[in-house]
Amino acid sequence: MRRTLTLARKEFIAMFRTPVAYLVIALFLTVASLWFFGVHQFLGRNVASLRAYFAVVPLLFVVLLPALTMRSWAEERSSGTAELLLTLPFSELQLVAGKFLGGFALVCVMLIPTLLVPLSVAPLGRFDPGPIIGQYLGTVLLAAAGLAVGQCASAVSRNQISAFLSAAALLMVLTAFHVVNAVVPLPPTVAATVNQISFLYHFSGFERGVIDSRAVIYFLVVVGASLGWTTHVLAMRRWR
Amino acid sequence: MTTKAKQRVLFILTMVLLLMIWLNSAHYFARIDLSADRTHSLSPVSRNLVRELGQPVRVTYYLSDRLRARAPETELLIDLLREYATHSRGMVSLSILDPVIAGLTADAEALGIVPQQIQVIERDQQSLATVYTGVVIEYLDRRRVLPVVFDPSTFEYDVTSAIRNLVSDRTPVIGILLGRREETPEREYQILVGELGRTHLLRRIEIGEPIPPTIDALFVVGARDIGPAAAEPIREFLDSGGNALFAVSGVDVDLDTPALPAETASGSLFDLLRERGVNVRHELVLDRAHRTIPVTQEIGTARVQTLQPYPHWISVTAANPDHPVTAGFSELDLFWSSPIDVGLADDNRIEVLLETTGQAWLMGEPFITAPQQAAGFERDARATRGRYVLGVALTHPGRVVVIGDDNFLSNLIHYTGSAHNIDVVERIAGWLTLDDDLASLRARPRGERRLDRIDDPARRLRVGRTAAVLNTVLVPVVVVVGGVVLNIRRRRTS
Repeated sequence: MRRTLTLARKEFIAMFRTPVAYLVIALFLTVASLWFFGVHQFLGRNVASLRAYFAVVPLLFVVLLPALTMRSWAEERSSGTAELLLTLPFSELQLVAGKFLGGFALVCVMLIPTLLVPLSVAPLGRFDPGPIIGQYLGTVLLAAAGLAVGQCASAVSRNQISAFLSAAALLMVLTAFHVVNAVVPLPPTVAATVNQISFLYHFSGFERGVIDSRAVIYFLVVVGASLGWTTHVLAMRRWR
Repeated sequence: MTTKAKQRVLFILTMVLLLMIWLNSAHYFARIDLSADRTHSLSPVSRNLVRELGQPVRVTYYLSDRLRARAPETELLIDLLREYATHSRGMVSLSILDPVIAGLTADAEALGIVPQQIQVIERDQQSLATVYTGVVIEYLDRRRVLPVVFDPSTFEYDVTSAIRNLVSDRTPVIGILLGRREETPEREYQILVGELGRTHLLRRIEIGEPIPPTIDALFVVGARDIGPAAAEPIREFLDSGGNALFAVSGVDVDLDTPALPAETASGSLFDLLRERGVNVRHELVLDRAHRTIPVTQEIGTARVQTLQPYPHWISVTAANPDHPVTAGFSELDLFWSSPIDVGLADDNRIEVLLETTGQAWLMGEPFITAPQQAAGFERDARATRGRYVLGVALTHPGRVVVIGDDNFLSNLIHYTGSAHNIDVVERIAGWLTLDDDLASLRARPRGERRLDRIDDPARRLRVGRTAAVLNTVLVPVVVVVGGVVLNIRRRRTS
């Protein structure tokens, strides 16, 4: 565990050595706030809720999380440091978990300035704190799942561009998979399964302030499966 | 087995384990509603109902995207419908369709969904848009339609009662008996008929007509033309354990005359109720807590309409919190109400439901009701000031509710914006038709919280703009500048 945390810390610091982390954070804050105050017209709608602010987060993550994860394995591979990394006294799982936790810590740091949104609009109305807690919890889980999927895409890609594009495409499909139901009439069981695969479908509960164990488990399973797949890909590469 | 093969097996087992955890989570789950008042959770009544469904229920919410984008209330309705689907363990399937996009406007209207018109401003042009917000619930070959849904506070009640009626294949029947011959439910009680008709079958009962035994509850509104002979069928109905609401005022007000003249009401209903220990007095009760009435005044050559305080229109907020009809009660408006004396029959089966404030007073004959004669409203106030009973409930042999006002469920509520009166009437209907569970659903507050902490519009705008600039511009700029400065420092150091 200590080794994993050491790796995570190294990864976290390394991310802030490039402008990507700052740009991603600034872009996230700007677009989310522009949507909330400008397009959604928070003041004009006269509703004391941050639901609209968090509603745009999953779509932003489709673009921003791949930008954070595209370097993690694809760059190591293209620069030839991946082999070196695998010779270090770390297991594949420790390497994968370390990089994942580093990225996860960055997203958590990214969310800290967003606390200013509820604080700055609080004087306007009596906001219900319960849903806001749920929205943050959902965002953190969604970010974890997105980062894990992004790492997986990075591990199987040859360079950063393809890692970014494949991760973004994968996240787009996972995020809006439930839209299939609006386009194609499916039998109820299939339609329910389609919903269960969608990130947005599970996130919508958190948006309302409802913590559903199914949604929590779904996001954790996505994290576990993606990290497991990444570990397996690296392990298989070692055996080549 | 080689290490590589072991690695593969371990990977496959991990994936299978995760898949099983995910599949099992659908069967064993828990939910925590963090919202205040558990806004997004169904009441135990609705949860139990959908859990015990034997056959699938299909719910289709026809909702126009144009309305959805403009009315946040519709999101709450969707949330609640999703709750039904969640708790039903697959027995309730939910579809949300925009009839316009799906090309189903004709089908939706044929099912009974009523198109609504709203004003929209698009590209600086104001226009009327036709939108839909109605729900169709299907069970086996049966169907219930909620033609227009919009109010989150009554939505669970409407959906749950519709599902109950579908499953039991029986809709409670309410008989409506109007005590004034010239009135019709369709004209004077249009709103009541519309609202009650969504969850009950309504049947008009003529004065003097025997009350059919198939009726679950009888609503008697007004007493003027119910003589001794006409009161007999009602007496028989009550004696046989029938349930009834009596909305009767001891004073008749003529709403067709602008001066609103009033006279003592007569009729045998008062004797019938007195026999049961409820005495509706032939007086008016006025209260410090009251509504306003629009009054037209002539100032010079101009006619000006102003809102004037009118203590005859009582705003009732004091209610019995322990009775299913008034538990969680918020408000009821009564118009020219009469006080009720209870306890004459020394009967503990009578419960007080509604009362005035302690600052109410009575008015006997001659009645002063014209809004222009406000100076005379407190004529008898000094001698009669106190708290008065406005509504009671009896529980033997059947269930009976008596309210000393026959206008509180008329179309008047449309002009006074007293939609809460319908809530109370629905709860009375639920209790009278022996559906206490349904009556309790009416007590649940729902709705979006508003930005109402700052009254001053200029200050409100200032605070809102400050928040927008802070979060959209200042914070991201600080992040970028911070990043640039740190990188420059790092480069210099290295």
